[in-house]
Amino acid sequence: MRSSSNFGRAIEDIAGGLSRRELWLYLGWQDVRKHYRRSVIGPFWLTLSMGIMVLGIGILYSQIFRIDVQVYLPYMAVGIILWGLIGRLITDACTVFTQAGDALRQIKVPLSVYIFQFVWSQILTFAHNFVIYIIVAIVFAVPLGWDALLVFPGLVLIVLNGIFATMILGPVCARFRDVPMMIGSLMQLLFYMTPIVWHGEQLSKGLWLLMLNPFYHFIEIVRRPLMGQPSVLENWLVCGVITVVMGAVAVLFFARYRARIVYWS
Amino acid sequence: MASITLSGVVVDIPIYDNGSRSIKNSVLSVATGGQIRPRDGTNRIVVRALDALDLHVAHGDRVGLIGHNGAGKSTILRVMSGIYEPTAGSVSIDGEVASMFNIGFGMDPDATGWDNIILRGMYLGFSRREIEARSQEIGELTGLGEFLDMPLRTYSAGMSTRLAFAISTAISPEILLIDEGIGAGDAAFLSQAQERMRKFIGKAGILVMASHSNDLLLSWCTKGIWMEHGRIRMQGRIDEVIKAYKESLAG
Repeated sequence: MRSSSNFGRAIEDIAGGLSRRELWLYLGWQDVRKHYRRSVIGPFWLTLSMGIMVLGIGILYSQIFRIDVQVYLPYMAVGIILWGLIGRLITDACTVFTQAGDALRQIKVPLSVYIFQFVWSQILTFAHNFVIYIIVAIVFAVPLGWDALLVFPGLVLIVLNGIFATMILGPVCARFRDVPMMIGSLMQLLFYMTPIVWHGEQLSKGLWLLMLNPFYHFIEIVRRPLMGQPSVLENWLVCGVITVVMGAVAVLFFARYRARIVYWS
Repeated sequence: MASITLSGVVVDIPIYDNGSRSIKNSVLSVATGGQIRPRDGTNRIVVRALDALDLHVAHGDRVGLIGHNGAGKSTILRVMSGIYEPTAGSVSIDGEVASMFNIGFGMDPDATGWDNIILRGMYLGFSRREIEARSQEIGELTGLGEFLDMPLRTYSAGMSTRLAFAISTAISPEILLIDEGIGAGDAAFLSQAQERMRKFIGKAGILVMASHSNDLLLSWCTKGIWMEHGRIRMQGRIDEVIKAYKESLAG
């Protein structure tokens, strides 16, 4: 029996999506493979192109910033790889329902299936890029301790926020077709505003620009463990609070507009 | 016992005036013949695809939906399947619903026939294990033989229809919704596959089917509903409804 409230139906939708995981695990994997069908190394093209970029930027910018490449390259590599995940989670969240428009009208599947499918495909892409980190960590002998295990809760927070962001941006962008463009330019700007190719310590004034940037905190909670550096409590607190707020807003938003998505997409 | 009850169901499909939204065209094509009206003083236009529709379908009913393009046939099916949640009114559905709207939907042209059986099967609600266990049987049914190892894009149109059909009819839902979106060419195939279709439909507690083919409707349905401008113009025995509809077209 269907629940009568919007909220109840949204929860049913999400629960239904979780129970159909075989479908979205398959579809998400399919999304990653699709681009590389019949190519010899397949999705490892992701790894290769990311690797070349990291190498190029690493060598050039360590010169520009006059930082030892051994210090700079691993730092920047982790940042770029993480930004790859975070940035794509946000920009591509905008097209989840517009791209699924045809499917939405053909078959009744919980809408959260499309969200999980999308986030899962981004996780898979990230996993391919993560190979770069492993190579870099070995080559540059990044000193890892038990702290490195904090990577996992950090990534969980990023993925959760990715799901929440998709629950909000997916419907909004289906309704207002200018939003994806706005988000696209915003994320491009944020890439330069966030310490990824540069280091937070290079900033002598205007530290608030860092502290007010949520992406800085999310990058830090994963980058520090991966660099063998101790975590900063403040980063975790900020990310924790953002996750709770995003979660609440996302569920309410999704509950309110879920039924309209099929009409908008 | 399966049943479907719609009471006072209204479906307004909003049309956003933005050239970049190609979806606009597809919605319009679905809705041609619905009621186009501006909504509450704004510039937004909505197409009223269903207008205060009351309908009860009981277990054992075989319903054929008749009407010109955009009369609301597909919209009713989408409401029954849960794809469209109505703007107003309530829908109550008892029983597991399966819909067959676009038979080619959910197929991946680059995947093999076998992979497509798994993919489509999972869309239809099978678990991976269930569909893998049944894929041999479905594969045989398609009669495609070694072609099942080839990617779908190498298939002819008829072959991919065979594949889609074999998978789609592998389920046994309590409520079966069929839209003629399947198209004329495929309708010819369907009449070839009539034996399997008869079994498939026979197992369902309820069949609701939209079609422009009177022969198809007469052979599969017992009841008819004639839709016009999102409302029911007439309902009754299928042959009577078709006769009245034909007369109105002629007159």
